[in-house]
Amino acid sequence: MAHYILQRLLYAVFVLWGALTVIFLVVRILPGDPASMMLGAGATQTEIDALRQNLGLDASLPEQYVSFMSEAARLDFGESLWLRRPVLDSIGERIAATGRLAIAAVILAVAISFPLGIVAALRQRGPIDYAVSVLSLIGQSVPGFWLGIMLILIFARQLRWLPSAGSQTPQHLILPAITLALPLVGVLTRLVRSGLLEVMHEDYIRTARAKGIAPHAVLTRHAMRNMLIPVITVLGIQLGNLLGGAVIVETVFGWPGIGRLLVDAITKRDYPLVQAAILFITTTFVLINLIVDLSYVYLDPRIRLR
Amino acid sequence: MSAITTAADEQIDYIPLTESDPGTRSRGKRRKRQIRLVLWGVPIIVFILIAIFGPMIVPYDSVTVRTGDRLKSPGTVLRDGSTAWLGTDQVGRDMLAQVLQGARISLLVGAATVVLAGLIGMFVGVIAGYRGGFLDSLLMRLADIQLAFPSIIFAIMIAAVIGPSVVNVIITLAITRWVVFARISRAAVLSVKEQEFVTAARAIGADAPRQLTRHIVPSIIAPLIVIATVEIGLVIIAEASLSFLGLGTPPSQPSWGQTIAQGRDYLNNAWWISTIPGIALCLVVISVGVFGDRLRDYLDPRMQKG
Amino acid sequence: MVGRRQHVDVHAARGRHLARRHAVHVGGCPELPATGDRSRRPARSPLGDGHRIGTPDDLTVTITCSEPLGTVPASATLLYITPAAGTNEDGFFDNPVGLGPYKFSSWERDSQIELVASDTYWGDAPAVGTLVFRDIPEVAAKATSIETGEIDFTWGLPADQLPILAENPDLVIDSTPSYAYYFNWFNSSREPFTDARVRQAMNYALDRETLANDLLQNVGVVATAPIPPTIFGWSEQTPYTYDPERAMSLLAEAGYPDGFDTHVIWVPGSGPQDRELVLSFVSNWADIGVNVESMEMEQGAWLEKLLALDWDMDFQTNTVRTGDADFTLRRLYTSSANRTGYANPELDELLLAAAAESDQDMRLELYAQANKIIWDDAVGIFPFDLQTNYVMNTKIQGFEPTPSTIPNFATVTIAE
Repeated sequence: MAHYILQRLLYAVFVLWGALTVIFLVVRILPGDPASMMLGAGATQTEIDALRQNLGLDASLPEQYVSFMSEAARLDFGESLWLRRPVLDSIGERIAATGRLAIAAVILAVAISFPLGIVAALRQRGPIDYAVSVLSLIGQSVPGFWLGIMLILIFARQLRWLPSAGSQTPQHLILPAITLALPLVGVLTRLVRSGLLEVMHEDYIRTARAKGIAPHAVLTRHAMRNMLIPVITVLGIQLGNLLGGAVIVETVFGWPGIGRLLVDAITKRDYPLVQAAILFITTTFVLINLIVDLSYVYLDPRIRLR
Repeated sequence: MSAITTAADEQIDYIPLTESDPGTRSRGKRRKRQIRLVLWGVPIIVFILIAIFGPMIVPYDSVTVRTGDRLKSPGTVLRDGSTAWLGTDQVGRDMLAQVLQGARISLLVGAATVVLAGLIGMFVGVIAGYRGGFLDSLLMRLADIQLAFPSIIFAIMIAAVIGPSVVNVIITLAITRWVVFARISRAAVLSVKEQEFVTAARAIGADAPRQLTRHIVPSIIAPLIVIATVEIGLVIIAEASLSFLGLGTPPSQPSWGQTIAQGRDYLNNAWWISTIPGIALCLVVISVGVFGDRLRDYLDPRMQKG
Repeated sequence: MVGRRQHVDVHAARGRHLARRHAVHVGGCPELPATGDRSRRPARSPLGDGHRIGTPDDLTVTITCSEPLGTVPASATLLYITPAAGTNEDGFFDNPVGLGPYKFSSWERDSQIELVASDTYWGDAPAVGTLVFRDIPEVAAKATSIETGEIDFTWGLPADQLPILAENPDLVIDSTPSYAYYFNWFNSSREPFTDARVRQAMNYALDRETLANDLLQNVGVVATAPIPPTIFGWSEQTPYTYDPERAMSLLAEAGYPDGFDTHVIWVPGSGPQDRELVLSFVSNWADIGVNVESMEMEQGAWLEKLLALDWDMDFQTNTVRTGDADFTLRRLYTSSANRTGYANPELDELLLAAAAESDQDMRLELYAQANKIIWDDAVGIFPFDLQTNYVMNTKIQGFEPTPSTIPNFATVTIAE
């Protein structure tokens, strides 16, 4: 048990280091550099070189890497090249916005997909099952930006029920959260359905049924617990996709989240900001998956035995 | 076997690993199930035929624009007397030809990406699972890094470095998609490795490559195909997201995603540009997804109804 | 205080770029404010090398140039006057100070900037007390916001949105010529664009009138010179009337009877209808046998190529920020700038002379000659001048558009 947790922690550290190294290299391989982006198309080479030196970009790659890693280890991520302020400030402002959006989307997705998946599984091969499976596939197959714009045109432009873009009021959260949740609804519904079916065919459930335990009791006591494992696993892994979706949703709805910040920082080749934002995102991902891993210990007794 | 089977990998084995055992069933019943499965594949075959022959029947001219006939609704008779059955786009190109060409590009991107990602993933997964030990640890941590790294951000960067082309889009998407195949292959290899026929083969002195090619790889193909059907849909959507961010296929080879993305500014006055390829995309993803479900049920003995 | 202070939500067409004003100092000279165009910054100070700036008293600034310079009044519009103390301190540009009718109140990056009327403004206090500039990147969301009244004012919408908005009785659309224009440069240091006849042929191949009518409507008109008529120094040139026959015979003369293969680099979002225009140009050029690949690029990758002269053709918008020809012509077309691979000593001389001349009539004459060379020698294609369209709620009154596309809200009032 302790061994398992320690091992998971070590993995987490390794993955973070790997992600940081990859991002360090990748931003520097990108064509274009921060100095010429800042100075624009009119700059001369002399000006670009001077600014590069000023920004500390003239050091060799290994030198930059060593100083970057040692600073990162001390949780010092430097200043944004473009904004000249600590990157953590910029990221801090954005986490809340993206966090609100992501949490709303996950809650919405879970609230929709569990009932749908359970109904579909209980009525396997029935018309409801087919309807649910087609609906969840539609959810997964609609490009997010298209859906977002359609929601704006329908609910903001035609019906005037909701605001179109921005993040000023709680109502502003509704459309982006739906847009972000829909693909997740598709994935989760399918997982809940197949997870439940799987469990229902297992011996202990059959036994429970045979013993005359009422179906809903079977569901809650035995099935739910086992169904949660794949769902939680996929939710953890889907976090990356959720962020990808967030980039698009944030652009369509003018939502000031970390996805847009990151894309903007990449465009401007703002290395420290890109690095810190990616580190933040991967840390969140790794932490959540760590929690997911540890939750198995609780959810699946077999793992405890290892 | 080292104790590195992670809890997350464990969950992957809810995907069936062995073909159904026909022993207890009559030949006729099995045949009937096969036919039913093939029927579910008919829509996919139709789309493939459209992708192959559509552009031959209604050729797409990526160069010639007719701005006088732009934004015409479906069924409009154009200046030259021809009818634009699906309307025209923002520079007056025929939407029917564009959607047919898009079928070719989108299906090509989807299939090629999944094949490429599948091969990479299978290679990594089989090696990791078969060899185990340190190599396994290393490869799976690499996979974790890839997963932790927001895939769309990675795609943005790769696209910026290698520029827009269909091949580059395929490479970009494959790099962000191989992990799931690797994990499944690995989990499958781990479970197959201990099965009797493989142990027997080892006992009679079969060498490693022989074991891999004769016994292990064939038995993991089925779960990989099932996951591939899910992934094809996701890849086609991911390509659309790249197009939204301006990093999709080039204008001379418009994928559906590209057409949807470029038409999005016209959703309130020329809905057909974005919506028609959107519906086509949905239908493909749904057909592939439904087929994947049936295939999974077909391959999984536990899912069969008496 | 004049009028009531009211609250107006405006949407900045390029709201995200406002952020760039908070920027670094380069060589002691604050970065110029940025808007959409990407070639705005001069290679050297617009006041010339070796100029001195003095402040003999609290209300006077003197600029002493090391050489005669006729462009000082125009360039002075780019001058930032900041408190001597604090300018170089961290965070100075996060809290902008100024003497305008509005002062900075708050800023949420990628979301909104808020300005409030300044009590210390030297002119009449503005009637609208608070301005909120909201960043709305997506066209559909922006158009919806102005329709539903979530915002009261916006600019820079694509041409195709305007007919729909024009039907809305609550909205008014105002179009005005701007300082911005499209150009399609040739890399004159690369075959086959080393030959002026090839460059001219590419010009004659474009059906500008049709494209302006079909695509641009009220966001652009056919250009008449390398700079728009809103600019000091503009002079009308002989139009390149659509003539594919002539284009093909020019190509044949230059030794390309069967055309050739080439490419154009551009960044999506560089201007209104940019994609439609590139596609149409490519189609027009195909008609004279020139096969052009459209290379849509990411901004950073594009800039690297552009600066390295690693391209055949480059399509983009550009803005003459000071309203004076010098800002664009001398910066971009001298041999020493070497932005397009085009080198012409005669043009260099004219542009330098025009900059040094303080007699403005004389400068006009010099620019007329320079324009003619750039236009007739086809250093680039100058297809369209851009107009800025402003869409506003009918309750907004007294708005006067400016060609700089920096709207002035000091005169605006809000009707009940």
